[in-house]
Amino acid sequence: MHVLVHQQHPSLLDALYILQATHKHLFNALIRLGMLNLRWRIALTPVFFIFLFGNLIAQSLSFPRPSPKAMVSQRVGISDITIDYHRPATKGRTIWGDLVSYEAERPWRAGANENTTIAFTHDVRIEGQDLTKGTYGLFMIPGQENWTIIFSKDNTAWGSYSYDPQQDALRVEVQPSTAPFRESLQYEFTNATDTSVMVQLHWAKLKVGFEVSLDLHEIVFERFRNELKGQAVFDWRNWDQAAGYCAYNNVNLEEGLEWANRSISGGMGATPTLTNHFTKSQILEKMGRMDEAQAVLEAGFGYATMRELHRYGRYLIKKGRTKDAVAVFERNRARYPNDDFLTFAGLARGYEADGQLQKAAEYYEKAVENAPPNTRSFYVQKAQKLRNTNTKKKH
Amino acid sequence: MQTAPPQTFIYVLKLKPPFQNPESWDEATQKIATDHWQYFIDLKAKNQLVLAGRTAYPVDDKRIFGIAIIYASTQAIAEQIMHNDPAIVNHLMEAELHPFSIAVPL
Repeated sequence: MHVLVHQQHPSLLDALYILQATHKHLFNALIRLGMLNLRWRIALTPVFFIFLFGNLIAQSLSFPRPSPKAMVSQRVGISDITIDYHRPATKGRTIWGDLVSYEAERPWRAGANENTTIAFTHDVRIEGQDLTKGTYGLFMIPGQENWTIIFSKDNTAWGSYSYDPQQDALRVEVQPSTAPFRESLQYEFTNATDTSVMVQLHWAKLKVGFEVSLDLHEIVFERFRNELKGQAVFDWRNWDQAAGYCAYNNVNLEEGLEWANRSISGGMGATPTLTNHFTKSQILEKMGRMDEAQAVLEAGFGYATMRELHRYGRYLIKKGRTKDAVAVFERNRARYPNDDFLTFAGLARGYEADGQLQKAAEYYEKAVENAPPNTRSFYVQKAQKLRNTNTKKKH
Repeated sequence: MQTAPPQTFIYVLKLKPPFQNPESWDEATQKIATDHWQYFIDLKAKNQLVLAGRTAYPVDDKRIFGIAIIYASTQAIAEQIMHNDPAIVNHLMEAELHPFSIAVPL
Protein backbone atom coordinates (compact mmCIF):
# COMPACT_ATOMS: atom_id res chain seq x y z
CA MET A 1 0.00 0.00 0.00
CA HIS A 2 2.75 2.40 0.89
CA VAL A 3 4.37 1.82 -2.44
CA LEU A 4 1.21 3.00 -4.15
CA VAL A 5 0.94 5.98 -1.87
CA HIS A 6 4.55 6.81 -2.61
CA GLN A 7 4.16 6.44 -6.32
CA GLN A 8 0.95 8.36 -6.83
CA HIS A 9 0.70 10.75 -3.92
CA PRO A 10 4.12 11.73 -2.65
CA SER A 11 2.55 14.40 -0.48
CA LEU A 12 0.83 11.67 1.61
CA LEU A 13 4.18 10.04 2.21
CA ASP A 14 5.46 13.42 3.28
CA ALA A 15 2.57 13.49 5.77
CA LEU A 16 3.53 10.07 7.11
CA TYR A 17 6.98 11.37 7.84
CA ILE A 18 5.58 14.18 9.89
CA LEU A 19 3.49 11.64 11.83
CA GLN A 20 6.47 9.39 12.24
CA ALA A 21 8.58 12.23 13.55
CA THR A 22 5.91 13.57 15.92
CA HIS A 23 3.89 10.51 17.08
CA LYS A 24 6.88 8.21 17.54
CA HIS A 25 8.02 10.35 20.45
CA LEU A 26 4.50 10.58 21.84
CA PHE A 27 4.03 6.81 21.79
CA ASN A 28 7.47 6.22 23.27
CA ALA A 29 6.68 8.67 26.05
CA LEU A 30 3.35 6.93 26.76
CA ILE A 31 5.11 3.55 26.96
CA ARG A 32 7.74 4.90 29.31
CA LEU A 33 5.04 6.33 31.55
CA GLY A 34 3.24 2.95 31.59
CA MET A 35 0.19 4.53 30.03
CA LEU A 36 0.00 1.96 27.25
CA ASN A 37 -0.54 -1.58 28.44
CA LEU A 38 0.58 -4.69 26.55
CA ARG A 39 -2.73 -5.11 24.71
CA TRP A 40 -2.52 -1.56 23.33
CA ARG A 41 1.12 -1.99 22.42
CA ILE A 42 0.35 -5.12 20.41
CA ALA A 43 -2.55 -3.37 18.73
CA LEU A 44 -0.43 -0.34 17.83
CA THR A 45 2.64 -2.27 16.64
CA PRO A 46 1.51 -2.48 12.97
CA VAL A 47 0.87 1.27 13.04
CA PHE A 48 4.43 1.88 14.28
CA PHE A 49 5.73 -0.57 11.75
CA ILE A 50 4.09 1.32 8.92
CA PHE A 51 5.23 4.67 10.28
CA LEU A 52 8.76 3.53 10.87
CA PHE A 53 9.41 1.24 7.94
CA GLY A 54 7.00 2.47 5.29
CA ASN A 55 9.69 4.55 3.74
CA LEU A 56 12.16 1.68 3.67
CA ILE A 57 9.63 -0.57 1.96
CA ALA A 58 8.81 2.14 -0.53
CA GLN A 59 12.44 2.94 -1.24
CA SER A 60 13.57 -0.64 -1.65
CA LEU A 61 11.31 -0.97 -4.69
CA SER A 62 12.16 1.12 -7.71
CA PHE A 63 8.94 2.50 -9.15
CA PRO A 64 8.84 5.49 -11.45
CA ARG A 65 8.42 8.65 -9.40
CA PRO A 66 6.69 11.83 -10.46
CA SER A 67 9.85 13.81 -9.68
CA PRO A 68 12.65 11.64 -11.04
CA LYS A 69 16.01 11.43 -9.35
CA ALA A 70 18.96 13.22 -10.95
CA MET A 71 22.59 13.78 -10.23
CA VAL A 72 25.00 16.30 -11.70
CA SER A 73 28.67 16.54 -11.09
CA GLN A 74 31.34 18.99 -12.08
CA ARG A 75 35.10 18.94 -11.65
CA VAL A 76 36.76 22.21 -10.72
CA GLY A 77 40.53 21.88 -10.90
CA ILE A 78 41.01 18.55 -9.16
CA SER A 79 37.95 18.83 -6.91
CA ASP A 80 34.45 17.40 -7.54
CA ILE A 81 31.07 18.99 -6.81
CA THR A 82 28.07 16.65 -6.92
CA ILE A 83 24.39 17.56 -6.57
CA ASP A 84 21.87 14.82 -5.85
CA TYR A 85 18.25 15.90 -6.30
CA HIS A 86 14.80 15.15 -7.67
CA ARG A 87 13.28 17.02 -10.58
CA PRO A 88 9.71 18.22 -10.03
CA ALA A 89 7.81 19.41 -13.13
CA THR A 90 5.67 22.55 -13.42
CA LYS A 91 2.68 20.63 -14.95
CA GLY A 92 0.97 23.91 -15.70
CA ARG A 93 1.25 25.17 -12.13
CA THR A 94 2.54 28.53 -11.01
CA ILE A 95 5.78 27.72 -9.26
CA TRP A 96 7.34 30.83 -7.80
CA GLY A 97 5.38 32.54 -5.09
CA ASP A 98 2.68 29.88 -5.27
CA LEU A 99 3.72 26.20 -5.27
CA VAL A 100 7.02 27.37 -3.80
CA SER A 101 5.83 30.06 -1.46
CA TYR A 102 7.72 33.24 -0.72
CA GLU A 103 6.25 33.21 2.78
CA ALA A 104 6.65 29.59 3.88
CA GLU A 105 7.52 28.81 7.49
CA ARG A 106 10.28 26.42 6.54
CA PRO A 107 12.96 26.70 3.85
CA TRP A 108 12.29 24.97 0.54
CA ARG A 109 14.02 21.63 -0.10
CA ALA A 110 15.36 22.96 -3.42
CA GLY A 111 14.01 19.97 -5.34
CA ALA A 112 11.49 17.27 -4.45
CA ASN A 113 11.21 14.19 -2.24
CA GLU A 114 14.37 13.59 -0.20
CA ASN A 115 16.77 16.30 0.75
CA THR A 116 18.65 17.82 -2.17
CA THR A 117 22.30 17.34 -1.29
CA ILE A 118 25.48 18.98 -2.51
CA ALA A 119 28.87 17.35 -1.91
CA PHE A 120 32.33 18.87 -2.12
CA THR A 121 35.47 16.75 -2.13
CA HIS A 122 37.55 19.69 -0.91
CA ASP A 123 37.12 22.81 1.18
CA VAL A 124 35.45 25.49 -0.95
CA ARG A 125 34.27 29.06 -0.82
CA ILE A 126 30.61 29.79 -1.52
CA GLU A 127 30.08 33.36 -2.71
CA GLY A 128 33.42 34.06 -1.05
CA GLN A 129 32.61 32.39 2.29
CA ASP A 130 34.45 29.30 3.56
CA LEU A 131 32.72 25.92 3.64
CA THR A 132 34.45 22.73 4.77
CA LYS A 133 34.43 19.72 2.41
CA GLY A 134 31.56 17.27 2.93
CA THR A 135 27.96 16.55 1.95
CA TYR A 136 25.35 19.15 2.84
CA GLY A 137 21.57 19.33 2.72
CA LEU A 138 20.73 22.15 0.32
CA PHE A 139 17.81 24.40 1.28
CA MET A 140 16.61 27.71 -0.08
CA ILE A 141 14.44 30.52 1.18
CA PRO A 142 12.98 32.04 -1.99
CA GLY A 143 11.97 35.68 -2.18
CA GLN A 144 10.89 38.24 -4.74
CA GLU A 145 14.22 40.06 -4.65
CA ASN A 146 16.63 37.92 -2.63
CA TRP A 147 17.08 34.23 -1.97
CA THR A 148 18.89 32.65 0.94
CA ILE A 149 20.88 29.53 0.11
CA ILE A 150 21.38 27.26 3.12
CA PHE A 151 24.01 24.53 3.44
CA SER A 152 22.87 22.28 6.27
CA LYS A 153 25.01 19.70 8.05
CA ASP A 154 21.88 17.52 8.09
CA ASN A 155 21.85 15.87 4.65
CA THR A 156 19.53 12.92 5.28
CA ALA A 157 16.19 14.59 5.99
CA TRP A 158 13.02 14.14 3.98
CA GLY A 159 12.20 17.46 2.43
CA SER A 160 12.50 20.29 4.90
CA TYR A 161 10.04 19.11 7.58
CA SER A 162 12.83 18.38 10.01
CA TYR A 163 14.98 21.33 8.93
CA ASP A 164 16.86 22.63 11.94
CA PRO A 165 18.60 26.03 11.69
CA GLN A 166 21.07 24.84 14.35
CA GLN A 167 22.48 22.53 11.68
CA ASP A 168 23.28 25.39 9.29
CA ALA A 169 26.87 25.33 8.13
CA LEU A 170 26.49 28.40 5.94
CA ARG A 171 23.88 30.82 4.61
CA VAL A 172 24.46 33.09 1.63
CA GLU A 173 22.24 35.70 0.00
CA VAL A 174 21.86 35.72 -3.79
CA GLN A 175 19.60 37.33 -6.39
CA PRO A 176 17.43 35.33 -8.80
CA SER A 177 17.10 36.20 -12.47
CA THR A 178 14.55 35.50 -15.17
CA ALA A 179 15.33 32.71 -17.62
CA PRO A 180 13.76 30.83 -20.55
CA PHE A 181 11.00 28.45 -19.46
CA ARG A 182 12.09 25.03 -18.24
CA GLU A 183 9.43 22.41 -17.45
CA SER A 184 11.43 20.36 -14.94
CA LEU A 185 13.74 21.70 -12.26
CA GLN A 186 17.38 21.31 -13.20
CA TYR A 187 20.72 22.07 -11.64
CA GLU A 188 23.51 23.07 -13.95
CA PHE A 189 27.08 24.28 -13.79
CA THR A 190 28.10 27.36 -15.77
CA ASN A 191 31.18 29.57 -16.20
CA ALA A 192 33.52 26.77 -15.10
CA THR A 193 37.19 27.68 -14.73
CA ASP A 194 40.11 25.87 -13.08
CA THR A 195 39.19 27.39 -9.74
CA SER A 196 35.49 28.30 -9.81
CA VAL A 197 32.06 27.47 -11.17
CA MET A 198 28.50 28.80 -10.91
CA VAL A 199 25.91 26.36 -9.60
CA GLN A 200 22.50 27.29 -11.06
CA LEU A 201 19.03 26.08 -10.21
CA HIS A 202 16.74 26.58 -13.23
CA TRP A 203 12.99 25.93 -13.08
CA ALA A 204 10.02 27.50 -14.83
CA LYS A 205 11.15 31.03 -15.76
CA LEU A 206 13.68 31.56 -13.01
CA LYS A 207 17.34 30.94 -12.39
CA VAL A 208 19.17 31.30 -9.12
CA GLY A 209 22.75 30.39 -8.44
CA PHE A 210 25.85 30.76 -6.33
CA GLU A 211 29.55 30.73 -7.05
CA VAL A 212 31.73 27.91 -5.76
CA SER A 213 35.44 28.62 -5.76
CA LEU A 214 38.43 26.84 -4.35
CA ASP A 215 42.12 27.23 -3.83
CA LEU A 216 43.58 24.82 -6.37
CA HIS A 217 47.13 25.24 -5.13
CA GLU A 218 46.12 24.40 -1.57
CA ILE A 219 44.58 21.13 -2.77
CA VAL A 220 47.75 20.26 -4.65
CA PHE A 221 49.85 21.03 -1.56
CA GLU A 222 47.62 18.87 0.60
CA ARG A 223 48.31 15.98 -1.78
CA PHE A 224 52.04 16.69 -1.82
CA ARG A 225 52.13 16.69 1.99
CA ASN A 226 50.27 13.44 2.01
CA GLU A 227 52.51 11.79 -0.58
CA LEU A 228 55.68 13.04 1.04
CA LYS A 229 54.82 11.03 4.14
CA GLY A 230 54.77 7.78 2.16
CA GLN A 231 57.29 5.97 0.03
CA ALA A 232 57.90 9.06 -2.09
CA VAL A 233 59.88 10.41 0.85
CA PHE A 234 62.87 8.28 -0.17
CA ASP A 235 63.56 9.96 -3.49
CA TRP A 236 65.04 13.46 -3.69
CA ARG A 237 63.25 13.95 -7.00
CA ASN A 238 59.81 13.90 -5.35
CA TRP A 239 60.79 16.60 -2.85
CA ASP A 240 62.26 18.57 -5.72
CA GLN A 241 59.11 18.21 -7.83
CA ALA A 242 56.98 19.55 -4.98
CA ALA A 243 59.40 22.43 -4.39
CA GLY A 244 59.51 23.08 -8.15
CA TYR A 245 55.71 23.44 -8.23
CA CYS A 246 55.99 26.21 -5.63
CA ALA A 247 58.79 27.95 -7.54
CA TYR A 248 57.04 27.65 -10.90
CA ASN A 249 53.73 29.01 -9.59
CA ASN A 250 55.30 31.47 -7.11
CA VAL A 251 53.17 30.13 -4.24
CA ASN A 252 53.74 28.52 -0.83
CA LEU A 253 57.39 29.57 -0.97
CA GLU A 254 58.22 28.95 2.71
CA GLU A 255 57.12 25.33 2.57
CA GLY A 256 58.62 24.99 -0.93
CA LEU A 257 61.96 26.05 0.53
CA GLU A 258 61.65 23.35 3.22
CA TRP A 259 60.92 20.77 0.51
CA ALA A 260 63.92 21.95 -1.54
CA ASN A 261 66.15 21.69 1.53
CA ARG A 262 64.81 18.22 2.24
CA SER A 263 65.62 17.19 -1.33
CA ILE A 264 69.21 18.38 -0.95
CA SER A 265 70.01 17.05 2.53
CA GLY A 266 68.66 16.07 5.90
CA GLY A 267 66.87 12.79 5.33
CA MET A 268 66.66 9.43 3.63
CA GLY A 269 67.03 9.72 -0.13
CA ALA A 270 68.24 13.32 -0.02
CA THR A 271 70.87 13.91 -2.71
CA PRO A 272 72.54 17.20 -3.57
CA THR A 273 72.26 17.89 -7.31
CA LEU A 274 72.32 20.96 -9.51
CA THR A 275 68.62 20.33 -10.19
CA ASN A 276 67.49 20.70 -6.58
CA HIS A 277 69.95 23.54 -5.91
CA PHE A 278 68.51 25.29 -8.94
CA THR A 279 64.97 24.79 -7.61
CA LYS A 280 66.01 26.18 -4.24
CA SER A 281 67.69 29.18 -5.86
CA GLN A 282 64.49 29.84 -7.85
CA ILE A 283 62.45 29.87 -4.64
CA LEU A 284 64.93 32.20 -2.95
CA GLU A 285 64.80 34.48 -5.98
CA LYS A 286 61.00 34.61 -5.77
CA MET A 287 61.37 35.49 -2.08
CA GLY A 288 63.65 38.38 -3.05
CA ARG A 289 66.71 36.78 -1.43
CA MET A 290 68.91 37.27 -4.51
CA ASP A 291 72.35 36.89 -2.93
CA GLU A 292 71.40 33.61 -1.25
CA ALA A 293 69.86 32.41 -4.51
CA GLN A 294 73.12 33.02 -6.35
CA ALA A 295 75.18 31.32 -3.62
CA VAL A 296 72.93 28.23 -3.66
CA LEU A 297 73.18 28.01 -7.44
CA GLU A 298 76.97 28.27 -7.28
CA ALA A 299 77.03 25.51 -4.66
CA GLY A 300 74.89 23.40 -6.96
CA PHE A 301 77.48 23.57 -9.74
CA GLY A 302 79.74 21.49 -7.51
CA TYR A 303 77.33 18.56 -7.90
CA ALA A 304 76.35 19.13 -11.52
CA THR A 305 76.32 16.28 -13.97
CA MET A 306 76.95 16.90 -17.64
CA ARG A 307 73.24 16.56 -18.38
CA GLU A 308 72.25 19.01 -15.64
CA LEU A 309 74.72 21.63 -16.85
CA HIS A 310 73.44 21.20 -20.38
CA ARG A 311 69.85 21.63 -19.25
CA TYR A 312 70.76 24.70 -17.22
CA GLY A 313 72.49 26.21 -20.25
CA ARG A 314 69.36 25.70 -22.31
CA TYR A 315 67.29 27.31 -19.56
CA LEU A 316 69.54 30.38 -19.76
CA ILE A 317 69.09 30.56 -23.53
CA LYS A 318 65.34 30.50 -23.05
CA LYS A 319 65.67 33.37 -20.57
CA GLY A 320 67.68 35.35 -23.12
CA ARG A 321 70.87 35.19 -21.03
CA THR A 322 72.95 33.97 -23.96
CA LYS A 323 76.39 35.05 -22.63
CA ASP A 324 75.71 33.20 -19.34
CA ALA A 325 74.53 30.20 -21.37
CA VAL A 326 77.75 30.13 -23.40
CA ALA A 327 79.74 30.30 -20.13
CA VAL A 328 77.82 27.31 -18.75
CA PHE A 329 78.31 25.25 -21.94
CA GLU A 330 82.03 26.10 -21.95
CA ARG A 331 82.23 25.09 -18.30
CA ASN A 332 80.53 21.80 -19.17
CA ARG A 333 83.04 21.13 -21.97
CA ALA A 334 85.94 21.94 -19.66
CA ARG A 335 84.61 19.63 -16.97
CA TYR A 336 83.88 16.75 -19.35
CA PRO A 337 86.60 17.03 -22.04
CA ASN A 338 86.21 13.41 -23.14
CA ASP A 339 82.51 13.72 -23.99
CA ASP A 340 81.85 13.40 -27.69
CA PHE A 341 78.29 14.64 -28.10
CA LEU A 342 76.33 16.52 -25.45
CA THR A 343 78.93 19.18 -24.63
CA PHE A 344 79.45 19.86 -28.37
CA ALA A 345 75.70 20.17 -28.90
CA GLY A 346 75.51 22.54 -25.91
CA LEU A 347 78.26 24.77 -27.26
CA ALA A 348 76.58 24.78 -30.66
CA ARG A 349 73.28 25.89 -29.15
CA GLY A 350 74.98 28.50 -26.97
CA TYR A 351 77.00 30.05 -29.81
CA GLU A 352 73.97 30.02 -32.10
CA ALA A 353 71.85 31.84 -29.52
CA ASP A 354 74.66 34.33 -29.00
CA GLY A 355 74.94 35.03 -32.74
CA GLN A 356 78.34 33.33 -33.17
CA LEU A 357 77.09 31.35 -36.14
CA GLN A 358 80.42 30.15 -37.57
CA LYS A 359 81.40 28.58 -34.25
CA ALA A 360 77.89 27.20 -33.79
CA ALA A 361 78.06 25.41 -37.18
CA GLU A 362 81.44 24.00 -36.29
CA TYR A 363 80.12 22.48 -33.05
CA TYR A 364 76.93 21.16 -34.65
CA GLU A 365 79.19 19.30 -37.08
CA LYS A 366 81.18 17.87 -34.18
CA ALA A 367 77.96 16.83 -32.45
CA VAL A 368 76.68 15.02 -35.57
CA GLU A 369 79.33 12.32 -35.39
CA ASN A 370 78.09 10.86 -32.12
CA ALA A 371 74.50 12.07 -31.99
CA PRO A 372 71.86 9.36 -31.42
CA PRO A 373 71.16 7.97 -34.92
CA ASN A 374 67.49 8.99 -35.01
CA THR A 375 68.36 12.63 -34.25
CA ARG A 376 71.49 12.99 -36.40
CA SER A 377 69.69 14.66 -39.30
CA PHE A 378 68.63 17.49 -36.97
CA TYR A 379 72.26 18.48 -36.30
CA VAL A 380 73.25 18.06 -39.96
CA GLN A 381 70.49 20.42 -41.04
CA LYS A 382 71.35 22.90 -38.31
CA ALA A 383 75.00 23.00 -39.41
CA GLN A 384 74.09 23.36 -43.08
CA LYS A 385 71.63 26.14 -42.38
CA LEU A 386 74.16 28.09 -40.34
CA ARG A 387 76.88 27.63 -42.98
CA ASN A 388 74.46 28.89 -45.67
CA THR A 389 73.55 31.89 -43.54
CA ASN A 390 77.25 32.69 -43.11
CA THR A 391 77.88 32.39 -46.86
CA LYS A 392 74.97 34.70 -47.69
CA LYS A 393 76.28 37.27 -45.20
CA LYS A 394 79.73 37.22 -46.84
CA HIS A 395 78.17 37.87 -50.27
CA MET B 1 23.05 1.93 -11.03
CA GLN B 2 25.64 -0.65 -10.11
CA THR B 3 29.26 0.05 -10.98
CA ALA B 4 31.61 -2.73 -12.00
CA PRO B 5 34.20 -3.75 -9.38
CA PRO B 6 37.65 -2.26 -9.95
CA GLN B 7 40.17 -4.19 -12.01
CA THR B 8 43.90 -3.64 -12.11
CA PHE B 9 45.82 -2.52 -15.18
CA ILE B 10 49.41 -1.62 -15.85
CA TYR B 11 50.66 0.78 -18.45
CA VAL B 12 54.26 0.68 -19.48
CA LEU B 13 55.74 4.00 -20.53
CA LYS B 14 58.66 4.58 -22.88
CA LEU B 15 60.23 7.86 -23.89
CA LYS B 16 59.57 8.72 -27.52
CA PRO B 17 62.81 8.46 -29.55
CA PRO B 18 63.57 12.21 -29.77
CA PHE B 19 63.49 12.44 -25.97
CA GLN B 20 65.88 9.54 -25.50
CA ASN B 21 68.41 12.18 -26.47
CA PRO B 22 69.28 14.19 -23.31
CA GLU B 23 70.01 17.12 -25.60
CA SER B 24 66.28 17.38 -26.37
CA TRP B 25 65.34 18.03 -22.76
CA ASP B 26 64.62 21.67 -22.13
CA GLU B 27 62.40 23.62 -19.76
CA ALA B 28 59.22 22.69 -21.66
CA THR B 29 60.07 18.98 -21.54
CA GLN B 30 60.82 19.25 -17.84
CA LYS B 31 57.42 20.91 -17.28
CA ILE B 32 55.68 17.97 -18.99
CA ALA B 33 57.59 15.55 -16.74
CA THR B 34 56.45 17.53 -13.68
CA ASP B 35 52.83 17.51 -14.86
CA HIS B 36 53.16 13.75 -15.44
CA TRP B 37 54.29 13.31 -11.81
CA GLN B 38 51.47 15.52 -10.54
CA TYR B 39 48.99 13.48 -12.56
CA PHE B 40 50.05 10.37 -10.65
CA ILE B 41 49.60 12.20 -7.35
CA ASP B 42 46.13 13.20 -8.49
CA LEU B 43 45.27 9.59 -9.42
CA LYS B 44 46.61 8.36 -6.08
CA ALA B 45 44.42 10.83 -4.21
CA LYS B 46 41.40 9.47 -6.08
CA ASN B 47 42.39 5.87 -5.27
CA GLN B 48 42.96 5.14 -8.95
CA LEU B 49 46.69 4.50 -8.67
CA VAL B 50 48.43 1.61 -6.94
CA LEU B 51 51.95 2.80 -7.70
CA ALA B 52 54.02 4.47 -10.38
CA GLY B 53 57.72 4.71 -10.99
CA ARG B 54 60.54 4.27 -13.45
CA THR B 55 63.84 2.54 -13.88
CA ALA B 56 66.68 4.70 -12.57
CA TYR B 57 68.58 4.97 -15.84
CA PRO B 58 69.43 8.18 -17.68
CA VAL B 59 67.16 9.07 -20.58
CA ASP B 60 69.60 7.86 -23.22
CA ASP B 61 69.91 4.40 -21.68
CA LYS B 62 67.86 2.00 -23.77
CA ARG B 63 66.73 0.13 -20.67
CA ILE B 64 64.74 3.10 -19.34
CA PHE B 65 60.99 2.60 -18.90
CA GLY B 66 58.27 3.59 -16.46
CA ILE B 67 55.14 1.91 -15.17
CA ALA B 68 51.84 2.91 -13.62
CA ILE B 69 49.60 0.33 -11.98
CA ILE B 70 46.06 1.64 -11.91
CA TYR B 71 42.56 0.67 -10.83
CA ALA B 72 39.68 1.05 -13.29
CA SER B 73 36.26 -0.55 -13.61
CA THR B 74 36.73 -1.27 -17.33
CA GLN B 75 39.52 -1.45 -19.88
CA ALA B 76 38.05 1.58 -21.65
CA ILE B 77 38.33 3.66 -18.48
CA ALA B 78 41.90 2.42 -17.94
CA GLU B 79 42.74 3.48 -21.50
CA GLN B 80 41.21 6.87 -20.84
CA ILE B 81 43.35 7.28 -17.72
CA MET B 82 46.45 6.35 -19.72
CA HIS B 83 45.61 8.68 -22.61
CA ASN B 84 45.00 11.59 -20.21
CA ASP B 85 48.50 11.25 -18.79
CA PRO B 86 50.27 14.56 -19.65
CA ALA B 87 53.32 12.61 -20.86
CA ILE B 88 51.07 10.93 -23.47
CA VAL B 89 48.98 14.01 -24.26
CA ASN B 90 52.17 16.02 -24.92
CA HIS B 91 53.90 13.25 -26.92
CA LEU B 92 56.81 12.91 -24.50
CA MET B 93 56.17 9.20 -23.98
CA GLU B 94 54.27 6.34 -25.53
CA ALA B 95 52.53 3.68 -23.50
CA GLU B 96 50.96 0.26 -23.72
CA LEU B 97 48.16 -0.94 -21.46
CA HIS B 98 47.81 -4.47 -20.09
CA PRO B 99 45.40 -6.12 -17.68
CA PHE B 100 47.39 -6.78 -14.54
CA SER B 101 47.02 -9.00 -11.54
CA ILE B 102 48.62 -8.11 -8.23
CA ALA B 103 50.09 -11.16 -6.52
CA VAL B 104 51.38 -9.47 -3.36
CA PRO B 105 49.92 -6.05 -2.59
CA LEU B 106 51.88 -3.17 -1.08
